[in-house]
Amino acid sequence: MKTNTNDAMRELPLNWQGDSLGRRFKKQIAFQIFVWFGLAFLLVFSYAPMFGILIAFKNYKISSGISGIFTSEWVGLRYFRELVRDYNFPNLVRNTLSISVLKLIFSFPVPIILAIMLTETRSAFMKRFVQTASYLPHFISWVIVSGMAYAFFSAETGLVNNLLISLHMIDEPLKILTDPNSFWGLAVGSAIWKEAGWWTIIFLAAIAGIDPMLYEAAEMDGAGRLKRIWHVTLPGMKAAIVSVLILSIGSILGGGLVGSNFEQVMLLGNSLNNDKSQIIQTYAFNVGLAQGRYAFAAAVDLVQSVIAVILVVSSNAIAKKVAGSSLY
Amino acid sequence: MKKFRKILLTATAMLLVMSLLVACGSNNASKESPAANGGKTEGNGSSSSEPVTLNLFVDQPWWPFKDWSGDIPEEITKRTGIRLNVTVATDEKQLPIMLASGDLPDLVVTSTQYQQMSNSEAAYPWQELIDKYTPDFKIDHDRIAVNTVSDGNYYTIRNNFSTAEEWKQHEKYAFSNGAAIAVRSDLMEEMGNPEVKSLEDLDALFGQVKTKYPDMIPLVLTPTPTWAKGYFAQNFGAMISGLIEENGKMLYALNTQELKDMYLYMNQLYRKGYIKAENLAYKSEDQAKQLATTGKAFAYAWDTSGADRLTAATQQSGYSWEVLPIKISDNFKHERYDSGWQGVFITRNNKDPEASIKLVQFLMSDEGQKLAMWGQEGTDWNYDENGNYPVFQYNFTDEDIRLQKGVYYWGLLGGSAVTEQLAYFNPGTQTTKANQELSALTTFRPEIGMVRPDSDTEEQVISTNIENLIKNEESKVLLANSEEEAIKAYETIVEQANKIGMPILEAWANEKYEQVKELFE
Repeated sequence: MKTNTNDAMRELPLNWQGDSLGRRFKKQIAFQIFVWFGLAFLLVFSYAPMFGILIAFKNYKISSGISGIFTSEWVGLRYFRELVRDYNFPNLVRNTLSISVLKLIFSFPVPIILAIMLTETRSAFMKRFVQTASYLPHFISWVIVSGMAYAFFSAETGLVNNLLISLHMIDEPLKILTDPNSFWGLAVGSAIWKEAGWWTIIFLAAIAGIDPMLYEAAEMDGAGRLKRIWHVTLPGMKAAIVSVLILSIGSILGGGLVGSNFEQVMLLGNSLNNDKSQIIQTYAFNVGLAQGRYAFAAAVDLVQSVIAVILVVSSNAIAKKVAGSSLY
Repeated sequence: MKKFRKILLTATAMLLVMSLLVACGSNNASKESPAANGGKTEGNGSSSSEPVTLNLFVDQPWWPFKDWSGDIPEEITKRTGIRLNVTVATDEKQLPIMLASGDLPDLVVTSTQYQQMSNSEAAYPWQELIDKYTPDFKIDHDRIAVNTVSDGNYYTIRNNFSTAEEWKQHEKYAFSNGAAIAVRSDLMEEMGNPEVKSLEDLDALFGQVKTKYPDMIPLVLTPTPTWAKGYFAQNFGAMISGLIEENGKMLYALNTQELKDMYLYMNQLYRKGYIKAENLAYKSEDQAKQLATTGKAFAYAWDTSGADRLTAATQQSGYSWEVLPIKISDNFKHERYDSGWQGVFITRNNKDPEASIKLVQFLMSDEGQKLAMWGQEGTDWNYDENGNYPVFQYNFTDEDIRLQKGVYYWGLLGGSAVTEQLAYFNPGTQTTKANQELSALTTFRPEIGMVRPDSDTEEQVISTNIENLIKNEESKVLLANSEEEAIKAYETIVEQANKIGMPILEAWANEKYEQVKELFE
């Protein structure tokens, strides 16, 4: 593997010091094409649409088309004031932050632990069975998961409640789907159930890459099972753990590693639990699309983006300090 | 080797660029449609009798007809030379997105986006097309009045509306429908058919059900707010939301004592365990209806046709349903402010406005309404001996038959309220009994329904925000643990609504009401 990479490296026209700009460009033409395509993609799909943010500060009507972004009148911070004054605003921010942070804290360690447990399992059948069973839910859509949630947790017809009542473990059905206080738990729990197995695959691959000689050496030195996990497996997984952590921090407001804040709130949120379930994204979606108030929705999303930037910058700083590795 | 790689790379890059350009261009290429000239020539050399195909978007996610098939659509195509290519909305946000992107099909039918579609950039004003293509298409003054928006144009004529004269003309056979509660008549019989003449009686009935059938839910509400709360609203003389008229003044429904009383009554039904909290979390009709069809619900709050529809749906289980008396309170009031439900819009992207307006003319004609809504005269239905109402050869309320024939729902594109209600006249059925009762107590006031803010105005934003507020917060009133808590929750809603701008909306409404009155006079 290593020699192959070296061979490839040798063929690369890396040695361009002293060449003129034109010559250098000519040498790299193939690579330049790749880069320019990538840049063009970013410019067209990520940077150009950013001009649209302007509408958050303008009295923009969708009927005025793209040119309307520039021609409609400025209204300053009107939509931001409206958002902040909305009776729901404090709830929206609290819910968005809480669900995202809870997901990061609780969902992140699960696939790591599951991966370690799977590698330590002796029975090959058990290992394969658990692995398959745990990653299958990843392929089920959230619509179906929410249907399953009703079948299991409904207070009237749910399997779990019926079972607990008939076993006389509870008198009143648990209002898992309708009690606002159980929504965060439901969101985090169902997301872990659905996605943990999938992420385990990455960590299993990381563990598989650890040199078995290290384990043998540790065993010779008298390390027990737990010690081997602590001193060999975990340090061996560190690179994978840090990259996955960085990925989840980057998308923290979407739900991080397990994602799907938006889908969960759309499907499992209802008029009974909306005190704890409404998040900024669903609010923007409802206001922007259902009512057609795109300028206001743009302002709402901009607020969310600002929160996201603050979160990413600060968690990146923490990661840098604690783990010594970071996004930038 | 190096050279080969270079060629390969350049070729791949070129291919990528080309595919990008092709993707951008394909949109324009398909714009020139073969049906541009009235659809008479489809492509190269096909015959002139080939029907025009128009794309129709139906903004009702529950719409049961997914395509233009069945005897009735075929007959419509035969008579008009138009075939529809149907797309049904996946959710209520799809049309707003299409509107935003300007990506509209030839025809759009919608009820909720009526205001947004009624503008000259999205759709053709009908009058313009009528003057140009179908000068013989005459629409009566009332219909035009209730569909005219602030720019003076009307972009559709909504269905399910009839003028006062039309109602009068058919008063013996066409009845107004509305909210009702269906109860299990087999169980009513077991309980000795207790009389329900007042709200207290109703309370007692649910109490009896709870003791006698502890496993059943006494009352299940369908998720549509109009039907879920409608029966109670009528009996308290309340409107569940929106602007209403009281003593010549317009005010928002939240500001009426009647609505507050209705909420408090429903709250005590919940506190007594007659309504379940989870019911308010249901999002689809099926979730609620399932409880009725599987024998878990004793009563089901729905509309006046509910009892018959549930009896049909639960035939195999041997359940039967009847409607509760419509009026069980002296405060009863049923005013209809509606000026129609959904309308067909001919969009600016329409490839054949002429064919489109002709299709609409047909669907709104007497012949078209009956064909689309009732079926073919002679084979599907015949008039009764006096020629007053249709007598069907098939079960008109059976969804499976409707689906197979393609009948009824396409009639909702242009059918009047009277045509629709005549079909439901079936002496001896629960629906007819309930409608007859309700009709006698109904007042039609379309002018109040006209006091509705235009899209993109401050008042419209306020109005939608208040509606959302009610939707989000009413469960706190309904599910309060004590009456004091319920009153407090209700007052909080009113307070929030005031902050959102309810007084501004009311002031605007009073001004607008004066203008509307003039239009009607």
